[in-house]
Amino acid sequence: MSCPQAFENDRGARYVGGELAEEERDAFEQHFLDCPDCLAAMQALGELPAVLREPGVVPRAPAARLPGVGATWAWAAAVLVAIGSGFLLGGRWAVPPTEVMRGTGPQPGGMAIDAVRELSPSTATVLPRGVVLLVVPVPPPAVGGRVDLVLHDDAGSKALELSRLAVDEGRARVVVDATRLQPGSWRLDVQRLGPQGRVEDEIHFALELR
Amino acid sequence: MGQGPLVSPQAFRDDASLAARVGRGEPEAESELVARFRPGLLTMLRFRTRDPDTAQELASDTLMAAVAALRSGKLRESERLAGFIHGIARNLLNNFFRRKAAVPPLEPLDDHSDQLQAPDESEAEERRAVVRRAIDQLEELDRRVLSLTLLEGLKPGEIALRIRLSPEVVRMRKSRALRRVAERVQEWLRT
Repeated sequence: MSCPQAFENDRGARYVGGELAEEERDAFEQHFLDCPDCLAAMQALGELPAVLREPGVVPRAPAARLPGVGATWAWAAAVLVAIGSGFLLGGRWAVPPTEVMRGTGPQPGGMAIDAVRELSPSTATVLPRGVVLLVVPVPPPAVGGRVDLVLHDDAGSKALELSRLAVDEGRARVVVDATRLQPGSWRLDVQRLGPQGRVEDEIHFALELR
Repeated sequence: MGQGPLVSPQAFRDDASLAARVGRGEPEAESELVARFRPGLLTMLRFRTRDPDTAQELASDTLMAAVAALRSGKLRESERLAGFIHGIARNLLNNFFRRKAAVPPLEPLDDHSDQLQAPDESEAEERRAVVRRAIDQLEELDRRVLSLTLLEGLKPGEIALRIRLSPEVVRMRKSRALRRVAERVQEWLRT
């Protein structure tokens, strides 16, 4: 370890924290692209998110609340969970539906939102290719029940896990990474389930990805 | 970085030589280019995008674009390869964030699958162990601040609202926590 650049002036730490000015950030990136010492330092610091996701490392925030119980921006962290963990696969529940909107699995990294779309049951919503925040009207859940959201392709045969979800005053907010979807027609189903898990009400929202 | 290390004329000659070999389509040169820059690109892009999958894609796109550009002789004489490749990565990142899908047509790389696999997991685990020990020594509140910053991408002002501290205190805690982790990393690298 002979190159001090990553540790001079706390440069590496400030880079991780997003505190470097653009010029210094770019210069430092160029440097560690081709400096084994500084790259080793940054690779180690790059493990921070993985370690922070490990169980028990970070104290849990107060539990997110479900719709209809006065939740204020209850960010149900990674409710349908990060890409690849597969709560919903092949159109079937990979875990019992009760886990949906309640999961506390690994959180995805912060996502930059490219667009916001408010859905309406009467018209198809066109999604841009990007990370889209969907605002979805949802019915109030029955006492002891819940509301589930599932994304299908138009044949209904494929469901996609949604990475984040929040509920506030009759609207669910769902972040969808549309770059991971095939262009075509998609459908978001909102189901109101009773205490026994029976579907009491269902709303479909048509989505078009171009 | 105000005073970066001096770059030797030899470094420029090495870069020019590698660029010329890639430009001639030598497969070994492409492999060398990928081996040299892919780890750094992945690290940088993971920090920037906070998404390992996207980082993988963008790193591959960057290297493919670099090879295509080098074949067209686009590296200027006075330019270092790192700067050249960083410029490509930055453009692709900007495109990614803007979602304009303006990536130019790229030539496929030859098979570099041996270099495109996940980094050595034991090395990654060793790094995580160092970071874990550093985090263990942080206060719980500092860990929460780091989590909200690095996992959820929140700014100090947003974190302050969540944990009912002033933005200045959040900023101070974040900087201090990151500095302590970096110090641990530095100690580890010295050993």
